[in-house]
Amino acid sequence: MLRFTPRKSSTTRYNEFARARAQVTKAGNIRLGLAHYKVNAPDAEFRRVLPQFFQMAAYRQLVWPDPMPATYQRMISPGIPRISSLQREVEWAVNALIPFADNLNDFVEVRERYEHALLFGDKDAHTRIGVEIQERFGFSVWLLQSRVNSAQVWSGLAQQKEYSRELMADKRLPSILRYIISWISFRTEENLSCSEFFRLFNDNAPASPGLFDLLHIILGDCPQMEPSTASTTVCLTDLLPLIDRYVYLVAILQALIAQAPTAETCENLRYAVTMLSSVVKDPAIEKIALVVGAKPAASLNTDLIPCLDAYSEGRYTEAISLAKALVIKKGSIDALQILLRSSEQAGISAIISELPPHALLTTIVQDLTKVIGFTPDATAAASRLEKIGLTHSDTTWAAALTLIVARQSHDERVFEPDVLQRYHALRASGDNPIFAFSMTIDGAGQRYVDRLSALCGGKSSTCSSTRALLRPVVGGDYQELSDDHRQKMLALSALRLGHNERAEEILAETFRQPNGRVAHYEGGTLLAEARLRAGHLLECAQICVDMFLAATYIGSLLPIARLVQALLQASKTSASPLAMSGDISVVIIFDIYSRHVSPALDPERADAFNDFLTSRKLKFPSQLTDNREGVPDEHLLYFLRNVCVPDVLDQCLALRSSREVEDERAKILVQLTELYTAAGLVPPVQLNDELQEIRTRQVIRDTTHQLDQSKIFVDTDGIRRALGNQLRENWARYRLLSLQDTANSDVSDVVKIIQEAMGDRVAIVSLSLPLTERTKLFERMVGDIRDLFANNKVFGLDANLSTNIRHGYVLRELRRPFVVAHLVTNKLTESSEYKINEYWTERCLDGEENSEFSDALNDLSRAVDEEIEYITGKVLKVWSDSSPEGVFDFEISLPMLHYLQRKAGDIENYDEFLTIIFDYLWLQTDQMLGVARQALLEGTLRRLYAALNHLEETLDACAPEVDSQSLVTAVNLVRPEVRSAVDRVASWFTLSGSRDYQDYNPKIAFDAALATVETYYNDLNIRTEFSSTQSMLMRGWTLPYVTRVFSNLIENVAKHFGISIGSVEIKCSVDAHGGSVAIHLENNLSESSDRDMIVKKIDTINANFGQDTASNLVAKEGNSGYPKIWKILTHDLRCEHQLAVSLTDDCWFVVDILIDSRGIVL
Amino acid sequence: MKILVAEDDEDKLGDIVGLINEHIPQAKIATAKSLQSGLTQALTAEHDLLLIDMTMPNFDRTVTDDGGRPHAFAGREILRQMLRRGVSTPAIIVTHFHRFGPEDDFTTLEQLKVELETRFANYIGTVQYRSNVDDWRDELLSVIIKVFGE
Repeated sequence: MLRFTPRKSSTTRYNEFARARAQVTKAGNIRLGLAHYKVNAPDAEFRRVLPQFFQMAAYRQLVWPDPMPATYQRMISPGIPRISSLQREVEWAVNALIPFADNLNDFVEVRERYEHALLFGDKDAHTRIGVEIQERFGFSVWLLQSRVNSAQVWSGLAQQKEYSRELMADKRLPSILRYIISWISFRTEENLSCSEFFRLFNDNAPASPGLFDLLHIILGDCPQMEPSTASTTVCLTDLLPLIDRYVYLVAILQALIAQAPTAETCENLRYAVTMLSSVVKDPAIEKIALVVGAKPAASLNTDLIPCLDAYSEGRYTEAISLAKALVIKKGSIDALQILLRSSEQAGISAIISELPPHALLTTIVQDLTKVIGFTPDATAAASRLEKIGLTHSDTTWAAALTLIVARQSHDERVFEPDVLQRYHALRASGDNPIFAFSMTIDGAGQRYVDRLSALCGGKSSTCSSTRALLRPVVGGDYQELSDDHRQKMLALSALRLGHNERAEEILAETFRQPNGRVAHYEGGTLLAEARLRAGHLLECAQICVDMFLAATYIGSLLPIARLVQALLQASKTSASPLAMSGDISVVIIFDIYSRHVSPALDPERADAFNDFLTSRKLKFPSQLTDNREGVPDEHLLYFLRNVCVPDVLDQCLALRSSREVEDERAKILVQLTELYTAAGLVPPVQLNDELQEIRTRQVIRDTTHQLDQSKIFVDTDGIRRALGNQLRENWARYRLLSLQDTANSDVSDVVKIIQEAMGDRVAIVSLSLPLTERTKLFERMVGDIRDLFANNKVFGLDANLSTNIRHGYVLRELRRPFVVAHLVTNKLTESSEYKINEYWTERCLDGEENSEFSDALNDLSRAVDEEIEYITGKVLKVWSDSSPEGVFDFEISLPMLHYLQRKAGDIENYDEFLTIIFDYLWLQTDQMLGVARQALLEGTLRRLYAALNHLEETLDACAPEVDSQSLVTAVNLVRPEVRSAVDRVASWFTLSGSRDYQDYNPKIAFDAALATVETYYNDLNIRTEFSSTQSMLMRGWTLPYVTRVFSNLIENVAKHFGISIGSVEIKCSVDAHGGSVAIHLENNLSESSDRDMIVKKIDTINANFGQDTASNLVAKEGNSGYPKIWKILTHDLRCEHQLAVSLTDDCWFVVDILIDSRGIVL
Repeated sequence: MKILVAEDDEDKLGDIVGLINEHIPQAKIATAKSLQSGLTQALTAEHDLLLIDMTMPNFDRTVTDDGGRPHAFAGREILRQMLRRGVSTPAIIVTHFHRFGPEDDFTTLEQLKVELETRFANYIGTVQYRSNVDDWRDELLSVIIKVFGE
């Protein structure tokens, strides 16, 4: 029992108060004097004297000038500057409130009406009561919070945001309150979960412990409060208006009890709670008073008990009737739950027609129906309910709602209640015996049920069974309950006693014959728990998977995390780690864990997957379909669809490349479609979508690779055409001379004889031979062909080197790894220095300057660019006087010339002659490609590595002033990437073999081109829309060319329009009609684009798009792609075409290409 | 003496193989360039010693295969799989890096060493490779000698 401070006579008390006043006054400053007194006064005296201070208006007004402020400006009071112990701070706060007890009792009454109006969608009443609260009790954080929330309920998120913005912009509102409003408003954001909200809050909120906890309380959370910081939190409420001081003091008391449910907490709070409960008639205070032992005869609300009794005794119709009345009259969420459960048991639809359709309560009814019924959309419904609970955390019904949702995964009768459950049990509206399980403080649960039971005359079966379950004994009978409820209580009792196998036995029996859907899933969840506790892990996994496959929502309620940990522990301690791996349920459990709990154990999921295959002696998962004995259909479907995904398949040792992983997944997707069809089900469309995505990706990758491999190209057909009649005539003349000039035959014979006799030295002999007219003519013919082969601006090798390799490709490919790792920067202009590398400066120097560090990074940028410039500008070129380092050297020696002449000696056919020369030139090209590859792999790669080494050495020298660990890591990570890039470029220097492309839809070409451009412009967000004539197929041979046309078009967009704004939108259509193919490609321009300049550019493009100008531009790097497009259309696709560039009124840049479709489209 | 070197950086691989050839000419060296190929060889072929890079792609990189997803702790994963399957070949980690994993949640080399020592009995040690500094050569040789003796 509570012991009050010993009474003293009134004279003594007066003298004591006079002395205290003197002490306070002596301080010179009354506020400081009171603060000193608060901290230093002896306990007994403090309790006797403090009420007298607060009874005196003069003191009260000094520390709390405006408890019910009529304006925003007056909402914050000066408070008392020193902080005492928690117990004393609580008593101080209670004493401050007591003079306003009448106001607080009025507030409690009006708040109930206010909450009721909100819940029932009565906007007018709610607004009216809000005004009444403001007029009677002034402004408060509580009222502002309520108004923000109700703005959302009545007018939606946008209006709420607007209202909150107005509040935050109102400078009359103290800044701390505007800050609080910003969080209250942010809390309502859609798709922001409770945990995410508080994670963000914890990362950004002020670190001051007392304030931090108070903000948590205001925002609806139960913070982890130490007594020392809790006293600060209580003290801070001194600053707030009356309503906040009361509301948040109550919440702090609830949080303290929830956080530290110990006898000491009760002891600390009992005196103050007794005082408060003696004057303020608030159900929340009554509950607290009962729990801390301050008021055994607390006034509790027993409205719900008859309803609960009817439900647990199986009188469902009666329960429905009673519950419905409570829902409609009081908005009781606990009654609503009973209503929904009873309706399900009785097979009656739970419609509450009395509720307005748009009321908050109606939304809660709808979502709670889904959650309790484990419907397919229960997961989303549970999230919404949690969010409603958080948003309206200042109401008592929200606490009841939060408890109901939390109980599904963490039943306080089975598990130790968590802090939030203990907190909400104290806050929840009404009284419910089940709250007793969350009142773990000092026998409070028992006191609570006893009091409820007493108030019901000891006749409540719910109270009796709850009392029995709180302290279960073996053989408890629960006779008053219906069979179903009795079995459940017996199972719960066994679980609480640790008799897990007994619980398993009872639950398994009821699970076999469940009475309704709710009983099935709730019973199954308990059965899973019992099996887990009993160590029957495989059986636990099986029931978890069975239920999860039937109702996904239950995945978040089952003990998946603990089961997975138990399985891992069992595999460690077992002689055979693969002991349970033969069961597909184990694999699926790991997958559920990965998807619903955390990806942290994904490697173990892959282990379970591999172990399962091993146990079945399967190499590939696709073999399971034909070896499925003992695997239920639903399990097989889940396993193939969800477990056998690329991230798991790539850990299968039998699959040795990304391609094999994709092929295996594709095979599984086909199997899945067949399995669904065989089961009479419609295969989900996602299966086909995924299959198509894989195949398209593969085609695009193959196409891109094939295009890379066909970059070295000489259009010998084009050269044959370009050689014209002159060469043909020369050939005829040469043939004539061959017949006439027998002496030359002798010379040839001499050469042949000497060559055979002297091998390599034949060159010396041959050089001394005089050239005849026939030989001179042959030399001229071969030289002409060679020159066209090497240098023709349209068909020749250098033109193709320019178009397919040098035209930015080498630069982008080699620079890309450095750019991705942020290791290189650009120059502002061609002649200027490199820009400062802000990325690494920020990370290594916190944005400070260090010239050695900056120079080292600039050196790397310079070295990379110089190397690329060198290799493209000097090395990867056809040799000439102006390109003396060009690796493609087509000089033909005299001996070789004679060799070719001899080879062509018996040939009469002109085309055969050309073929011999082309074959020779190709052979020579192939040898030179080896030289090009060598130049890249040995020269370029070495020099790029040297540049990286130089950077690393400089960074070493900069230590310890510069923390360059992460930069060194980036340097080391980039090395293999640089090698891969050089390897890729080197791989382009390969003679393209004969490649057959399948006929294709132009989207393949578009996507392949897009993939290539995206690789190079990986910082650019390219959004695309593509459409084409349905079932349009283009001939396979055109694929590389059409892809290159798209590459040039998209790259033009990326380079000229996108790179400056970071994103670009491209719309492309390809239509075939009337013997033509129309390609239409358009892209948006940035708002800052210079329209006049673009129009000029368009005029130039349209004017220049012709053979003469374009062919001259083809071999030059750095121009726009239009000459290349012209070349591809004219000489590669060999089609009639037109190209026009334009600008729309709404500033879209448009390219239209019209192509004669003959020979191109099927 | 059979040594498996699992390393995706061809230059580093070349340096390690060159070092072994120079000092342990009798050693037969097998190579792998990814987590999966390293793991396959570690589990299926008999080796006397494994030299494993910590950070590797899932598959061997080729011109047509980017190697799949990267694994910051590929070396640890190989050791973990060996442990699961009872393969106890001595293993040395040879890494370029000082820290591993995402920038906002990285594991330092020192932390990783402690973890490897605690979890894997066949873990011999870690050598930090530098392409432009030769310390690692002596260090690696001394760790190898620890396994095979002089």
